[in-house]
Amino acid sequence: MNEHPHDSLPAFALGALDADEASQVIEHVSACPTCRDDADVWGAIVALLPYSTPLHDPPAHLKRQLLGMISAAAATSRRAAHSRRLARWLGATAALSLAVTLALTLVMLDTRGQLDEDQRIMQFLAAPETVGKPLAPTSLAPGARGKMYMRLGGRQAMLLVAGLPQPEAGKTYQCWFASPPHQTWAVTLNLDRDGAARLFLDVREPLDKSTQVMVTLEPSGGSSKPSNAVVLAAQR
Amino acid sequence: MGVLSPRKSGRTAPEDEALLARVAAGDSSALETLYDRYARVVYSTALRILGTAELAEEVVQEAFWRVWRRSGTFQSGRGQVSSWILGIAHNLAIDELRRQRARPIQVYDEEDRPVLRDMEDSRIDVAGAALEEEQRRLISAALEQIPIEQREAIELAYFGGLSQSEIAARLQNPLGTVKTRIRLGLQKLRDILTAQGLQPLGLDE
Repeated sequence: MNEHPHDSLPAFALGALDADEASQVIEHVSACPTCRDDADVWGAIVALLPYSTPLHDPPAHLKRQLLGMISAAAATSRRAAHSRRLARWLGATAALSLAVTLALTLVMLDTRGQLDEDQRIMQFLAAPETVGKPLAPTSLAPGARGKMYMRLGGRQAMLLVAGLPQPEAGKTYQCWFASPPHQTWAVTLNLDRDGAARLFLDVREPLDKSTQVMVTLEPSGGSSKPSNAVVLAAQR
Repeated sequence: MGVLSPRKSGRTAPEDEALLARVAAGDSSALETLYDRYARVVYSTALRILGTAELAEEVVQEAFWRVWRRSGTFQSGRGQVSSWILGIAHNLAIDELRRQRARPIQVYDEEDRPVLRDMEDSRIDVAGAALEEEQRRLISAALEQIPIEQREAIELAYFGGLSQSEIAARLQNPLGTVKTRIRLGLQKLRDILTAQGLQPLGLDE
């Protein structure tokens, strides 16, 4: 029986719980509306703490850059949608070359807040049509493990990795998804201090059994093509 | 006494939610308004956590980019838009802080104060600025009313990104003591703030 973790909720909202305790709280709270409401209240209190710090204005160029990114993304997705329509008209395999896009809509799991996302993720994992694809480590990261969960034909996936060594300075991990003959996507992994990462992804093209997944070590900021430093790969 | 009456604290919640709904519909001018309202506190928090302007600027960009992309995931009635935005920003900053710490070479010195560039955004959101000042006064006064060791534990967790065990190790205190301080400190903050009329979820009665 799961006791209500009332005493842990303030620390949970603060982000002060250790990873395993936080996972237990998330699991409980996703199924317990009372504790979820309590957690929301603590979250609202914690969200005032930023106002206690000296306040400074950010430089003006940040806003310009942000708005620039937004209109560029809108233009890219219009172009991508146009390419896809064109490709279907011309015949898929010839028109669409492998293109890397870093504009995945992704939801990074965190251990504080976003509790409805966690519930959505729990339901996704528990659904009968969700399948899991194990990822096997290479000699570069023998202690690593991973699994990708997805609904066949669906557009959602969840990636769990653990046991990865922290990347050295100037490096980052990137996860690659390839669904031939369409597109390759890549997303940078942000490891927690235990070498684990969880991503919930909404992708543009339906995933299927042939979707290939691998994790590589790349320079910080990511790459547009995978390096040879593969640490995890889906088993065939 | 409380300048913040329950009705006042709920005032901006529906406005922010309407803005976010417009963001979800692809309205970038609504995102711009939210930026004008919250970028300052996002930036300042990231600056305190990360210690350099460069990293803080990255957090601001990424946070509002995520607000743009995830606007549809906000749940009305589960808290305020401001808490949601600040939560995103805080998570980003702490993630980056932990990445910095995992590196063998320290890339920032906690004692350094960053050089702040002098290009300030002109503030035209008068109502937003007034609310920000109210929040600042409320939380600052509340923090001064809780015991110093409770405040220290809370700030080490929130701005230092430390877990309870890490705080205990750093302060050379028993873990139980740290846990109690965090719990009691936040409970006291909650009591003080709700006595001032704060509605944590922004729900008007």
